Amino acid sequence: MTLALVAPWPRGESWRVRRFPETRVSVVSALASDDAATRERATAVVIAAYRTPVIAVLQRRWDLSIEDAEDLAHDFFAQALARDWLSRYDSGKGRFRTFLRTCLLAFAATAHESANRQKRGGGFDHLSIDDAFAVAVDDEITDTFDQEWTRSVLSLALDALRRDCEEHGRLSTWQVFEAYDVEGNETDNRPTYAALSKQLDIPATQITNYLNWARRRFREHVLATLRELTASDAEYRDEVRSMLGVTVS
Amino acid sequence: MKPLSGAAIERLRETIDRPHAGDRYDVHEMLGRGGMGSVYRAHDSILGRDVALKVLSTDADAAALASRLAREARVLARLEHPGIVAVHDAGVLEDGRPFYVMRLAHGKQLDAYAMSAGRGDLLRVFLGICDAVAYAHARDVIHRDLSPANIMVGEFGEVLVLDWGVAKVAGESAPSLSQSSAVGSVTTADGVVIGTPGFMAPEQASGGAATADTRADTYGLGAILRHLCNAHGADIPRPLASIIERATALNPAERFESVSALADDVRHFLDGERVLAHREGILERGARLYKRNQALILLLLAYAIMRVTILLWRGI
Repeated sequence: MTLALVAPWPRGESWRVRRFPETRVSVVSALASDDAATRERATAVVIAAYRTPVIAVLQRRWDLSIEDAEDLAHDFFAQALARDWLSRYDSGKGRFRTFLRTCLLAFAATAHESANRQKRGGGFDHLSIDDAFAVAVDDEITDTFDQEWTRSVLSLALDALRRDCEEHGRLSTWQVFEAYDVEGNETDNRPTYAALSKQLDIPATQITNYLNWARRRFREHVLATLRELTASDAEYRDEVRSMLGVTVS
Repeated sequence: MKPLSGAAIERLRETIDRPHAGDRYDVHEMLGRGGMGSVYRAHDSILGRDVALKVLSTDADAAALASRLAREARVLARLEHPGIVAVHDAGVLEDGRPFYVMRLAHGKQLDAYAMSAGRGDLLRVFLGICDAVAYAHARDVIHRDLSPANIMVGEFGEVLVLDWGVAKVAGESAPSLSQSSAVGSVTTADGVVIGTPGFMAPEQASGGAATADTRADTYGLGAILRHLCNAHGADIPRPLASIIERATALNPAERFESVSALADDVRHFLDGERVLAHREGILERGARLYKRNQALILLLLAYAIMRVTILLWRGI
């Protein structure tokens, strides 16, 4: 009865959910690489994913202007790279996301205090990140960081999907997905299939196929991004479940 | 690309979770989400009808949940009754999640229905629930998680008993689970405690789910009957209270011997007949007989008064 795209129903109770393909390696693991170039590339990926949440938290927690928050975020990542903070992440102690957020708050608090001390003639303190997981964090700050991180991961996945579509000569597919699932959501005024068909000069019967393909690929890019930004299978599953509420094994 | 709004993020998250069930099913909006899976409205392009597609949606122990979803589909497939939703198709999505396709049910959850229905309608709906459960028992299937959350009432009062994910089939080993079936359900890794607090038979609550028999469902039905009778806040008539008391007896041996017997006693109440679970006094019996035969009694009384009047008139 079910068509070719769907696998037959498994027999017996021993059947297990299939694993998603691991298309990208963990950059979090690469942060501890012996090769400096690998560490640097991994840090660049981490910065791309975490820049927006870091800026949002700095703005919210210390009431900074966007320019000051961007400058402080730049200082944070520069220090993290120079002092090799991120490679000290221990996956046994919690999520990388939690570790980075706590490092950030410790860094920003120290920078804030130093700024005040310099006004009084003091200097800049060294940041201790050894107890990063033990630092208490305001719920509101946690929520801000997590929301921005979700936004960042989805944006990265959208970028990857757009590149994917361009590379596979499926620009129309991207345009349909963008108009219906991204911009349509923004305005809460989704175009009809007929309007999309007319606007993009695509047969209306193809819209569903395009959307199905793009949604499937988007899902894969989100999962691949999460795989890249986590250090272990357990952390990956945890992040997928908490962020998306979808099943992975 | 401009930053994504909160609304766009939520919809994109839904997009990610939305299943892609091949060319046959065009999946639309999510209808609901439970402890085990999400249900979507989908269009079956081959048969040209809307259906409900249930797919695994949570993690925790994906393998156990997948096995449970498969089991639910198999249990439903062996039950063909108007009060039990029919399974049309089942399979595995490209991303590995199992799914099954069932009839799209329209209606309200029992709780919502109870807010606007009178006692008579509620009791007739209750009898519909009993019919579906009695049918399942006749086919060796015990639901084990009967609660208002798992019952839907259609536009014309038709009843659908849902969520057969923890059902026990005679001759099969009970599912070993670690997730809750519906909101509020409690289970353990050994599959020992299964059900919804407040509607779960004591033998299930104390860890005997694997050995619980059809009387566990009788308890659940009794608890549902109590819930329905309390919906309007009025006092429960004593015969009905006795039915509830017997159905929810702590000792399974003291409950109705079958769901059909429970339903029969509720019918007795509706028809003004003697409720077997209730020991009625003389006055109570008289009142019941009067209420049941009110027209006949009034007619006889009128006839008697007329005869007496005639006799008295002739005597004068």
